[in-house]
Amino acid sequence: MSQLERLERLEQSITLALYEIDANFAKCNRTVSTRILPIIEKYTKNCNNIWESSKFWKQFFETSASVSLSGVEEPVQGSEKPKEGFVSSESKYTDSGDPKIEEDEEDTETFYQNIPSSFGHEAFEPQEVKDEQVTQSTPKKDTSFENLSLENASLTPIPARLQTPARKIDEANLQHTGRSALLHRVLDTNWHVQVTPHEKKKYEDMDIDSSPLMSPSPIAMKMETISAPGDRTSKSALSMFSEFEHESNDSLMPNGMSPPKTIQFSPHSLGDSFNRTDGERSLSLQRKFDALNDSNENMIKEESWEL
Amino acid sequence: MLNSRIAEKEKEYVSVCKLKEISQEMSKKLELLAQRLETLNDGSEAVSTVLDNWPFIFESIQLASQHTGALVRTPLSADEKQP
Repeated sequence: MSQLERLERLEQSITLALYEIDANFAKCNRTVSTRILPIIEKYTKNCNNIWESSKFWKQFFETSASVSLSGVEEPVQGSEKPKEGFVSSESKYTDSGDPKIEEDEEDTETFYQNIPSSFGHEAFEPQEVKDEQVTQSTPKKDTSFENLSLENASLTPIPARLQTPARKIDEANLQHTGRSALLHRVLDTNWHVQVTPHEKKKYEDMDIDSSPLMSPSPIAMKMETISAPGDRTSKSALSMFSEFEHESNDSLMPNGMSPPKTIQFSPHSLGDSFNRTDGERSLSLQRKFDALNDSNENMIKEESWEL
Repeated sequence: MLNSRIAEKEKEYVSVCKLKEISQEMSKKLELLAQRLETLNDGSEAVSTVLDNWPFIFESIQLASQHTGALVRTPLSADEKQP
């Protein structure tokens, strides 16, 4: 009967198709296990290196801008703000990168900087930060990095995360268990960076003394005469380079400059000749510092390179 | 009865064909993913190398700033550097 024949052929074709499906699945598994997993292992290694290397620059920028950065995760609630908000907020941050200059009235003024995650979430939420978050994110030197990395040792550590956001998110999204909790969290949350300016004291003599960027020794003579506003930051941004090189010499200024010498800024940008007298030295330094402030933020980095 | 069985077999064959196509798509997507991840890994290697080189830059600058005399570098190649 043709029906029997047809039945047989159908059955054979079904078997053949099932065999093809099995072959496809096997190919998928091979591809994943042979190529993808080793690649991801190398990628984790590279990413860890990058994160450790970036720790230094993060400290550097924090010191130069006198802020504390922390990563805050916001759960995505389907909010879609236009990209313009992101751009304007970013430009606002770069312009006011040094909050001290702006003479902010509030001590704990925080604002968000959005980091578009690799999964395409680009929402920006300028919310007010609670005091708990702020006070717990102000300490600059945290051991919480290591704590977090040990907690999430199964996967790569989340960059720039401090204690409070981690616990908050853990309690909120504890739907999944254990190791997969991190995986599921990555897609759920928006990654923000929270910038917290350090509490600054009001200086009676607003002068170059208050800048954390200037190396202290040329100003040391001036600070003896004027009541010292107190050392807000024990280290300047420039001294981090020498610390980074594991060469902490007290008598040597960063980049090998000795204390009695006047700091040389780039002559082509400032164009002033040096004044050797004490009284005029501070004025010339102040003028150069003003010139630095007028230019963009990149100059702050550049000054450390000029010899 | 045979006709009903044939009908069932035909439905089964159709669904099995769909499964085959879908699995084929999956293998292609995974192949694509593998390529992208390779590119990603190469990029991360580059970034990692750059960030690893920063300390050497600092070291060179410090060395250059400490020695006001002429620096002579004698690497393996025939180049010499004298600022």
